[in-house]
Amino acid sequence: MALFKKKRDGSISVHLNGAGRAFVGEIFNQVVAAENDPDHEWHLAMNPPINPSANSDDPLATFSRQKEMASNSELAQMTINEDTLNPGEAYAWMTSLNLALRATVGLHNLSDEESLQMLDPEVRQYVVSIQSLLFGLADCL
Amino acid sequence: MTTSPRSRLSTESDTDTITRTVTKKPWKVLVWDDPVTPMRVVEVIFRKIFGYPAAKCTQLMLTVHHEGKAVVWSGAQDRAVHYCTQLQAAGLMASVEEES
Repeated sequence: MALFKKKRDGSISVHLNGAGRAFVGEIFNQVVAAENDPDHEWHLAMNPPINPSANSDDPLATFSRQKEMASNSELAQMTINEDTLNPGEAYAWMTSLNLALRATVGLHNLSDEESLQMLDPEVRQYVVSIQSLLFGLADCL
Repeated sequence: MTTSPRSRLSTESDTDTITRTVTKKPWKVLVWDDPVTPMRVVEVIFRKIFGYPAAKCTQLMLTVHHEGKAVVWSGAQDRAVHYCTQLQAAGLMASVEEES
């Protein structure tokens, strides 16, 4: 059974069991926490430079990114128990999960497929689980 | 009211201006390859943010994958920064750069 299924009306049904929802919900919680806490281990990876050639980024641009991230991850958090998502909610789930993936990559300095294979099995399983969810969501959008 | 030829010349000379066109260089939005984001996710994000047709999203995604990066948009600096923040907020590795 697919994790997500696109229905005729364009909405997306969620087929996650309790453990699956708990796993996804915890990721959304972590993304929201990392946005707000500069000391969170994901924070730096989620806030890369916009213009690497400049000494610092325009505060308005970084605020705009933070607002967009918050909007998506908070919507994802709010809809964690829903059986059906609209495309906007599903996009919020997808981008929040992708941010978690991006943060994990940054935290473990994954630069290529080989470094992924050399990861601690638990972290690799975490990455693979997020990827499975992303594949499922992307196919519905 | 009339003006003498001399004064008319003088007036024309005073109002003569040098027109300079200041062309600002465009800014590029770059997306960089990473080893974990599924290709299909990258395509969906391009379609959502830029509204590109599916074929263009696929072509850009493949450029990122094979060449390590792709210029996904080019134009005014403020719009480039806006698109870059949207891409980063969606979890992609993106940056802006002025055209050389």
